[in-house]
Amino acid sequence: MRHRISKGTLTQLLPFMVGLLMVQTGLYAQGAGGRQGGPPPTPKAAAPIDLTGYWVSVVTEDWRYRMVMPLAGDYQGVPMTPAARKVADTWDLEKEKASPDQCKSFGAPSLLRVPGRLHITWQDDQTLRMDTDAGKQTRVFHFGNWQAPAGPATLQGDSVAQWELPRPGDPRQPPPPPDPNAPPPTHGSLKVTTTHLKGGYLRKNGVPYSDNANLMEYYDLLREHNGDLWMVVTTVTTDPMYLREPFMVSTHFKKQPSDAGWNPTACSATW
Amino acid sequence: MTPNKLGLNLAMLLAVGLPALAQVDLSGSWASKNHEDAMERGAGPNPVDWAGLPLNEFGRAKALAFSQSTISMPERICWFQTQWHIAAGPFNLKMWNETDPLTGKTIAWVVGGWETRAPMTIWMDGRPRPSKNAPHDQTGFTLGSWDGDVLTAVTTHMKTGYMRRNGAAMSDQATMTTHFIRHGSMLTVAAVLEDPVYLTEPYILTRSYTESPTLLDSAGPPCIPGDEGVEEGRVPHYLPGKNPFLDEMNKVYGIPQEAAMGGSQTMYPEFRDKIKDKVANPGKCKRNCGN
Amino acid sequence: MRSKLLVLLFAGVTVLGVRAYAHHSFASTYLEDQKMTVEGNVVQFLYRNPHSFVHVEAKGKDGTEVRWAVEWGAGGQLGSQGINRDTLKPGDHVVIIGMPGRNPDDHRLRMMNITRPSDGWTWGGTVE
Repeated sequence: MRHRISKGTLTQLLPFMVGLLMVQTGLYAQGAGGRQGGPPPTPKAAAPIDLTGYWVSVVTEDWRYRMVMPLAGDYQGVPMTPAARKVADTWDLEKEKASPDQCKSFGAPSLLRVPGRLHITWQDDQTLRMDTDAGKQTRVFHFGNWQAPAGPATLQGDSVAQWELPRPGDPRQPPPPPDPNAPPPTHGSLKVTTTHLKGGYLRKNGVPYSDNANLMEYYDLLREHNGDLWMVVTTVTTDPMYLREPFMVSTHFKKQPSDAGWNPTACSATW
Repeated sequence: MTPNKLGLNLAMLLAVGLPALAQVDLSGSWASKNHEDAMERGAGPNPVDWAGLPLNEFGRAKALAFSQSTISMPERICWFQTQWHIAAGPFNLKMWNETDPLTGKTIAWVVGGWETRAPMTIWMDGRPRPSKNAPHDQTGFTLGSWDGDVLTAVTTHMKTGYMRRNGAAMSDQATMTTHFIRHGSMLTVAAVLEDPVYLTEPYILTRSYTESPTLLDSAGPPCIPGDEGVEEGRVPHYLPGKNPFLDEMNKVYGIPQEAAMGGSQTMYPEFRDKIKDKVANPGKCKRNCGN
Repeated sequence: MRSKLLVLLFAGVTVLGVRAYAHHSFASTYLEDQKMTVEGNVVQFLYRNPHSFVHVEAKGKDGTEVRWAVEWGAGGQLGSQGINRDTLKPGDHVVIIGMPGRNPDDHRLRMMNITRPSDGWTWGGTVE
């Protein structure tokens, strides 16, 4: 027996289906926070997650490479090329102590591995700023069509940022009503690409990265049932000269309610 | 075309165009990038190295009593690793979803097992967690939920196991929360262990994986019991105050005992100020130097 | 002729440092900066996962027989290097160099090198 949709049913369904098609198209066209016909929201307004505030390193991994000076020649885990090994094997503790450049291990590829605190703020609507107390370093993440100024490579390089949003949900499901008491959402990530880096050390014992290194990072937030808020940063360093494959680590930070413990200290090549 | 056919075609067109629920596909073979904690995860940690572990005094006492020979006892030869081994071990991950045969919807995600770790089945279908008095087993019991594009899995009902393969134990009261975060062909796994028996605060590890074109097995190879040299009836251990390796980290790395003994203070940056004057000149690496 | 060639091949094989991963911690089980030599007869070759073991009876300093447990790689790892369950047989006289276990009561070594003088077969390296 053939089943037919009656004309009456079809007439009732058609506006719904057309409306559904319009809503679906609208969702895909709409950026986060955007309104059809208005200017796009600024990166600050469009931020799907709030990274601002104070964060503290919680060092549960690579402890002896981060909390203390690692042994000379201890390169466990780093996928070094022979050229990198050759450079690292010439590293000398006394020479590093005497060097005028104490900040080689505080460059962007290794900065977040140095135990300390981060302070993240919006420098302006297009620019996120990260200050570290360890080494008193500043990283600046530029959104939008920012062009790096000409000039020499720097320790922190040039960073371009973009928000990564979770994919749209099913429009058949109504969005949940906003809850003013709900904690801020943790959906979405920050992606940062950093280039134009001055060579430095991935580890204090001289494991090098070159001027050709690039960095890609993802910043994610995770909220635990006990209220802890974690920021997990996945870092991928590529360096055709000194790394035989991308060097990939993930570093975690816990949100702090205040600046307690903030302790700016100068770079140290040996501590 | 008749109006009915037009309506049907339009309905089909819309149905195809509707986006899926906000769920990321985590399935695949994920290669572990053991670029951090390479030694601890692979060949294994040094004895009496609990720096960065928030052990309480009971956790520390238990760890100090542990002899590595324990897991060569006939009864413990194939002592299972708990799900914590996903973060503490070096192995790749094979993940897939199990679906309802009628609706096709995902009812569970599975992280395949390996050797002595059972698969982790992450139930997504809203089933209740068993009573806290229910028996514990090798798989534990895991419920999952999506937080945006992040899969969060909470595991309870695990058996006793280890946090680190040098005696730092985890109890059967532990809860493990695992977050799976995918960015393109990269997967970051953040695992948080809470243990009211042995830890003072949550212990977190974060690991990185990349999508692998090489098909991974979903389990195995199985552990086979055998004679590892510890005879039946002997229980290797160290009595209180008798662990002979208290000074190992100091001898090898210049790291003072108060760091090696662990505790939550060893996780935070200010601990460096406490030990700065006690850290010996590290010297040159003589073993497990990598590359 | 073919079997002789195979024997020669195995006799000449030296394999270095195949990385894989330990069920337990090598650093915590063995004194990795030390070596010792044990010479005796194989009493058992356990070809298995996660670690194969070669049990060797050797005379101790006082002349008594001591049974040593020498830890080796997983069956799969060794298999990829041409070693199978029949490579060693009870009764084979072998000389083993390895890292001694941290617990002297275990009489345990981690395999670094094994030689069977009767046919010159040898294997060397570490398997994690």
